[in-house]
Amino acid sequence: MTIDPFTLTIIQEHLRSAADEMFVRLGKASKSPIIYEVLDYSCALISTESELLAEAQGVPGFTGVLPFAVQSILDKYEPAEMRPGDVYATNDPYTGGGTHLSDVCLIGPIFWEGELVAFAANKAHWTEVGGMAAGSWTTDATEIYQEGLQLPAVKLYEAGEAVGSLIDIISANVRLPEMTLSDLYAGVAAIRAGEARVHEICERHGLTALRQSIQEMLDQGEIVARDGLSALPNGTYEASDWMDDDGLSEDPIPIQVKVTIDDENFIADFTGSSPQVAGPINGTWARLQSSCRVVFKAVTSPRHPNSEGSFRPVKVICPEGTIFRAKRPAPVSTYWEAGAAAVDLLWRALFPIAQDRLTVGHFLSICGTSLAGKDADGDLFVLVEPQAGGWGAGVDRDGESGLVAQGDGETYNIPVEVCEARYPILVEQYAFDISPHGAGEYRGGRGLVRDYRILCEEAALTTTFGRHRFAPWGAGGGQDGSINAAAVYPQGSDKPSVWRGKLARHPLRKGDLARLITGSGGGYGDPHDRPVDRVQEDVRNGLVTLQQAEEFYGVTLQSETLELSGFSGQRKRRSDDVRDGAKIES
Amino acid sequence: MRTDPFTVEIIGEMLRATSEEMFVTLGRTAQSPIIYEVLDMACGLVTPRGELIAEAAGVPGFIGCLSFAAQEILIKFDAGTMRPGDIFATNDPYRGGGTHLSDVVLISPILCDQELVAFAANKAHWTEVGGMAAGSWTTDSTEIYQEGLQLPAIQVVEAGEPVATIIDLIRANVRLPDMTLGDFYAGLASLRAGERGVLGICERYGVEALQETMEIMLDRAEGVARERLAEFPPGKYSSEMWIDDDGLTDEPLLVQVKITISSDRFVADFTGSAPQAVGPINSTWTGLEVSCREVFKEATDPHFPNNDGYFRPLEVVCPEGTIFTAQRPAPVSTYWETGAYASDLIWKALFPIASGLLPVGHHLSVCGTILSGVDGDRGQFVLVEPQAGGWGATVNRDGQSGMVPAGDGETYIMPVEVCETRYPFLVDQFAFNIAKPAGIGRFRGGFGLVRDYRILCDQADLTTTFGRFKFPPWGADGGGDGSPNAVEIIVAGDRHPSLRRGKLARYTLHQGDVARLITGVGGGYGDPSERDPSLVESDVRNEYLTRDEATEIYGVIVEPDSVVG
Repeated sequence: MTIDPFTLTIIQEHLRSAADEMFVRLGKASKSPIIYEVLDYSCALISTESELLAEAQGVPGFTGVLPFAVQSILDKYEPAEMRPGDVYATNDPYTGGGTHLSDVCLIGPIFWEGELVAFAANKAHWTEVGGMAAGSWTTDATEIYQEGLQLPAVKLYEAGEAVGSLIDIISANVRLPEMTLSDLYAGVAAIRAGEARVHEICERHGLTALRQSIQEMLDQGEIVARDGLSALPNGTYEASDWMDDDGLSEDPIPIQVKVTIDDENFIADFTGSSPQVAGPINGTWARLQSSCRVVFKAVTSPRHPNSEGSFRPVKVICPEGTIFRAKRPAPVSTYWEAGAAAVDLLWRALFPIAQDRLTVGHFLSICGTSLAGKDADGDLFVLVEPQAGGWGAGVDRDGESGLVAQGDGETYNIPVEVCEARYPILVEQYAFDISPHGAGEYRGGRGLVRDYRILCEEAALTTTFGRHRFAPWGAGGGQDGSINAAAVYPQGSDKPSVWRGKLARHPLRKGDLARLITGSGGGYGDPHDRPVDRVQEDVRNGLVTLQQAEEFYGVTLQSETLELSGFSGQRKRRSDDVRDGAKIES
Repeated sequence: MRTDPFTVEIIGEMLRATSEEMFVTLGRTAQSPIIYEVLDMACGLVTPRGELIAEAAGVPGFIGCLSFAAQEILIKFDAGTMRPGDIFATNDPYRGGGTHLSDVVLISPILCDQELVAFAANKAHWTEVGGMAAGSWTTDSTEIYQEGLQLPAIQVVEAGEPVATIIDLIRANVRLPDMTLGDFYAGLASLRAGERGVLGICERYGVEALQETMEIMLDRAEGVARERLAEFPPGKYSSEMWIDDDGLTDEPLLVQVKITISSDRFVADFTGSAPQAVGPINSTWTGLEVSCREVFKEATDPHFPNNDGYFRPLEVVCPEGTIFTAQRPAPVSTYWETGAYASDLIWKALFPIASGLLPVGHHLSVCGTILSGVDGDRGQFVLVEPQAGGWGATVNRDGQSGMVPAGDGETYIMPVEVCETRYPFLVDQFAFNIAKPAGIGRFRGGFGLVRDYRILCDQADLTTTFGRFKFPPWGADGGGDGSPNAVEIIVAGDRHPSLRRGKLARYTLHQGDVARLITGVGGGYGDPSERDPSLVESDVRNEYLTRDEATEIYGVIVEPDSVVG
């Protein structure tokens, strides 16, 4: 029986809207701000062969990871043993779908008339899963056993009934059990929503139509992906870089990728990257896959909805035991740093052939910040947030200023007013960082400076700011961007006592100031090619200083009026500048 | 029906023998040396009301602890729905039966013809339950969430089938899953042995005879306890002490007890003791109760077999939130140090009226030591051991030298030869601690020990929890106090220690460094000037004392010849 194309399309849209509904339901029901505010979660429907059907996601870091989680459940449990109402949970970073322990995947099989037809799945960052540090991530863990409760692909619900002992264990082993269990129940509610919608499809259109529609959808995704791939020239593209350090030693960590594009495949080979490290910046296999999927999608078909078909040409190669694919018991609680580094490597390797789709290097790091202490009433407060920073220039435009990192996607940051109202903190400054970097014909976007004055007696600051030693890359003659940094100014001092990328529970006292600085993105093209009026506008807007205008752009402006008063020798020789020069004389 | 006294006696002994069989089964099958070598475990049978009826205890620190765990299970789970082969687990320190997370209690209902007739239970120290430090205890944790996997009174086996989710969870969350699950299955085997024994009794004598015997055993033990208690003069007795610190600050912590003995009650009231501390030396209710039971037993009748009836006259009073009764989420991983103080407080308070049964103060601390690292050929190594030290004098004899503290009971220490063979250390010295005379008296305290570990590998981490580092063991009636426990670090090539501390958390040692583990001398009893000169002379001959010290302290002049001879 052949189903008409209209029905097929209706079913596909139904699946996508089911994923969206799961996403909204999870967000509405969760108690963790990192879920409902930061959108650090994703929901999906997955086929019985663990292929992604439809996905609704918050952060891009979760793109296409849920099929790996479903596969790990299928590796462990026979489909014949599964019953309607079952839910499995996994956060194991070393097997399918795992990232760090805070990201918990919940997976429910969906049955129709006794037959397994799909899985509903979600992955969300639960605020608290126990471990050595409140919030379950820190920069000085050395083993997974310090990072929280591990749920190694276990059954959480049996035929609709929660496994009581497991709920009790979760409740006992986390610092904020009410919040954590609400995240759990929100995840289960999302699965139930997915299940109800799939049932609806089966009821209305029949199982055959659903299956045919799925097949068509996957194939269509593949066709679009291959179209995009064929637009890229075949060849081998390489990039190498350094990650700052592992948080415990000062040694920089070499990383590299070789991308091979041919008619059929997109192969990303990370062989040669550093072995796994002692500190918790190690990445995991699932996150590496999603890093590759994100970049592949960005350069081939960014707008077509994700399905497993979209990723069929992608092959990832990376030996086990490396920084991108750590083995038990390596610590992984800030794995997102390695995941972001993998994205950036691919990005840099592909930039020469995908300049219309990619910008140059950005500040990259989530710049995860956690500030904890006790407020005036003696109650525990924990501020956890990403920092926004500068993005790289494109070949035809300036970089975006003050935007969260790629891995964080549509995340929000915490408004100054909310910050001051909810925490014993005064935000003394929230400004663009105009350090002398990122110049170009198109300049990098500006990073930010955020100053927190501590108003309570004591607080502890944890930061994981990558790209503290190796700045975002520029291209085509554009400058590199600037580095990210966390600094501490003791009360009454204008010299920082600390200037670092990573801090673990660094003690602060009343009156101390924590300064969080994010980098400017890289620039594109020779700064001397930047039109004078653009430089003038930047200076007028306070994004470029007079001195930078002269030094990098070769443009000398009058300090009061910002009128052009001359060019440096190098810029003067350029023909288009002579025309600008003529204007002065007139 | 009334069971004849002979049968009652036989059933009682069978229950005790069953506990022993459980104990042997657990010890023989456990994977953790701390269980099969150090005997850090207890096994027993409990009535359906949650009263301990028969017990085989390894360390005295577990005396009578199983009843609290059984009661906790009865609060949470309906006894009516329990099935044969069900097993429950708890290590929740803040609820009944829990001490620190390493000590896991397993409990199984025993049903005869669908009637709950007893529980089999055991508690054992699993070497690894996860957490921030390998071995799951350290001296610098500040929350329970750093101390390992919490099993809050949950069902782990359903009608004989282990709950797969829980097994998987334990396997994932501990560093040595084969060892930990080995201990778990050993616990299961031990419970089965208990079940077999009790069902054997039911089969041979009937459930009623068993039930009647249990009541008789409890009542009889209560009778014995009250009889012994009546021998004590009624009145109020008190003591106070200082615990060194919590491991994170240097503040000493006051602890105290007031004991009221009347004709039928023994009340130990710890009100006024320090609030719970930031570091992991906190104890919780079960630890406190057990410490009281331990010393109550030894001060009244150490030989009569334990059951809950014996402890009916004992009442423990303590507000919530003290160092003895910490609340979630206080860290508790070295709870035993504080539990030992609860025992010692009662011990000291009772000494004036029970000097026939109790010596004066001893080194008290388990002096827990972990040395771990990675050595070329050997790979990962972890040495975990208690240290032996000096016991206090009694009213009629010198204290024992080099014996593990009361809380550790019949624990063994690690022989030097085993140590040097299995670990990359050289034991430079294993000697009596006689550097400075302490614990002087008519009867002197026993000697502590000095043990020097020279590190032969590149690097090793040392964690120690040596209590009584600032406040030495107490003497009595004119006898001097003993000397403190201490850890000294002597850096390679140096002669003198660069560091002297009680508690260390993963302190890094390098090749050639020496870790010197020193345990204290016990307290002395009576006026030193009344010491028998021949004992002084013998001490000089044994090189415990110099001739000058003999003169100075005891006023005894020992001729050089008698020493040489």
